[in-house]
Amino acid sequence: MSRLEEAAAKACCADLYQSELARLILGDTRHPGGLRLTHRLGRLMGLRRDDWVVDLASGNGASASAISRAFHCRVVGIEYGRAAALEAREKARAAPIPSRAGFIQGDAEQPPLRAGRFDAVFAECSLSLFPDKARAVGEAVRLLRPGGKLGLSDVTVAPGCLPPELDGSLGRLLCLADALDVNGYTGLLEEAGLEDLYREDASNEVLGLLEELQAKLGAFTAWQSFQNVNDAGATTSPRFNGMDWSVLLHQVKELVTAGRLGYWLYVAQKTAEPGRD
Amino acid sequence: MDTSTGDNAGGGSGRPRVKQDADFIFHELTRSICPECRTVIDAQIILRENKVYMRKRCPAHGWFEGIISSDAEMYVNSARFNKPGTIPLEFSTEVKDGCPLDCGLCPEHKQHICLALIEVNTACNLNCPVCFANAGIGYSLTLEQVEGMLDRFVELEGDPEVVQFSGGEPTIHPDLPAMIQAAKDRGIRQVMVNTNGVRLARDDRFLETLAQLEPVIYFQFDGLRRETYRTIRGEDLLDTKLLALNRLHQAGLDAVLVAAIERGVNEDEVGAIVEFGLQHPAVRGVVLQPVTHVGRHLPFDPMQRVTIPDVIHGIVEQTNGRFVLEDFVPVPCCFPTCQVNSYIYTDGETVMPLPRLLKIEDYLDYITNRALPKAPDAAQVQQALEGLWSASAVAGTEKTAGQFQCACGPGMELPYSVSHLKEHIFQIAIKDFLDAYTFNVKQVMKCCVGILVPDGRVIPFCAYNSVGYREQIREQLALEQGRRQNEPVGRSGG
Repeated sequence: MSRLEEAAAKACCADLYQSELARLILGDTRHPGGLRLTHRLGRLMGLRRDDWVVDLASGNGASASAISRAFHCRVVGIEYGRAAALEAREKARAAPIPSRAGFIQGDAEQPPLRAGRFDAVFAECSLSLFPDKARAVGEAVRLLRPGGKLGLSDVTVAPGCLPPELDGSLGRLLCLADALDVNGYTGLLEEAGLEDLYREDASNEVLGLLEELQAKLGAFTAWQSFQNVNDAGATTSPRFNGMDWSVLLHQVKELVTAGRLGYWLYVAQKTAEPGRD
Repeated sequence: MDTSTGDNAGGGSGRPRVKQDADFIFHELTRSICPECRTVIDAQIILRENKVYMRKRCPAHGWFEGIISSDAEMYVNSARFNKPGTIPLEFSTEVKDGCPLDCGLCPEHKQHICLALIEVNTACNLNCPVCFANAGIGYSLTLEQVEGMLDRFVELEGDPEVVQFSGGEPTIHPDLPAMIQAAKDRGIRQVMVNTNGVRLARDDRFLETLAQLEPVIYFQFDGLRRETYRTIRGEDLLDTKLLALNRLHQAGLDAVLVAAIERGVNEDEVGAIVEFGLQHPAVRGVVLQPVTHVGRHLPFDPMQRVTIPDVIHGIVEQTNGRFVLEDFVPVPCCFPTCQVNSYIYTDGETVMPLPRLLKIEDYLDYITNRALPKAPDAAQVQQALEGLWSASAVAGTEKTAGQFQCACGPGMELPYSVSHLKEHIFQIAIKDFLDAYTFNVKQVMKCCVGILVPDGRVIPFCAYNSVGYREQIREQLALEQGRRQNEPVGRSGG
């Protein structure tokens, strides 16, 4: 991918993430498991009071603010999408309970932050979207102090398992298109020189999300058919790329149950001995 | 046969010497506590004239008997709605003295916690004659303590469902908004605030803050008669309640009405409370609770107390044929004699209880009928119904609306998308908490409503109230608070 194409892909993702469709599917935190998994990742990283933390691709800032309040730490959210970064700032300003989270617009692959200063860096459902993952991880490691923690939560996809409807923009929206398999992320973290790697399967959260989505779309279908019956028209069900939602959901569910599609948490530590990296 | 000797010598009564049938059916033996000294003792459950009683004897205080259900058939039939429990990720205590003395939970507990309560203070802005929590002087938890309790709940459950802040009166705790936020920041799905509504009726800024945090308001509402409030709450609160509900609606907050039902006071108002809730735009459900005779309560006759079937019959009789007995189905996650639920689709004119659209027992009977219906979506329907018939179901949420939609499937087409549908799904729950006369270890062992304690325990609600945990913990927390306040200021400065 050329630099231009990469930039276009990032902008496209950021746009999609700001869309109403993303909000409908993923809820306010835009990733499976919501703040529950965000909190789990925070616990796994062992965040402590007054830690300095970076949230890569912080979106509307919901996770960064929650992490900041729950662990009493300071969080810098970096977001590529300008509108999302502004929204995050505005939300943080208007929040009834203030947090110590701040937001900047910038590229997570070239974070405008000082190296070696941060106690933890985390990326939720966002590494899968980065065109150059090794570089993004390398930059994250550069930000960490020796002994600092990198936390990832992301979609895992076994190679070649996706139905064609999920390649392209919908797959991109669901973080599927560029996602790695379970061991792919482990490899990335190891290659970046991180140690004490821990990983945890949270794929049940994807099943929960799919069930919620099914209920929402079921209600939407019933609502549409009710409208159509009133207009003496034919019943339709919601479609995306010409594909019936319910069929697509069923396919995705089967992939998750079969362990081909999932959601995993990873935590690893930057080596504490100076000079080794 | 020679009958001339022995026991009928004298023949004073003149009655033939014939064995008599008992006037009751011995249903089972369980364990309970003595209402006087709270010692754990055996208890018999007996059925008499289609009612259910608990009969027990304390070696020191003699015999006690109290009614536990006014409909034996309903009571016995509910047994099949008993779902296998889910084991929590961790326990906090060991089995030592046996149930209910090892609470916290102990490894013999049969269910995880669906709904956790945090009593943030003991102070209240009312002084009701009826208060299971016996509100008054005691303690006020710090935000830090509450955060620790929430963290513990996350450790125990992994994916905690519902936290309810209670008291005392939680709205007078200055850190309540931060506590609600702390629960949300940990990904706890639903946060509720249990309140008498007084501050909601008066404080604009507080209401604005709550509106941003969006908890579901568990709103004490005992009826529509002024006299009811004078008797149960010690003053006429009706106008305050109505004002607070209207303000909740303006603020965009959802409420569930919670009524304490007492014999001879408001048992004739249950229908009116349901009808009022169905009409009021802020109200998404009602919870009807026979008064628990723990803490502060009115004088009562244990043989005459209100039980779940009384409330169901009351609703059926007082709502002009809108409801039938079969609309109310036991909740399988706790012990099925503890709670019944119903769900209603309503849009002003239509009032359609979900149990009319499908046979709930086809999905929630775990004993007599193990095979699910042949419908293609049966497993999903069962899952949706298990979500609705659970102590963690919260009225007025998208989740509940989605489950309702999934459960009624093709049976009924609901003309709303989920975000609007939630305003049209109404929940009725009837919960009978235990007191010293009805306390049944069997129910406590599968209780899924727990009170979180700062030391990391979570104690089943009815054990907390009846066995002595409440008094112990309150005293301990008040002492600790006194010690904290006497510490020299500025200790962090070293």
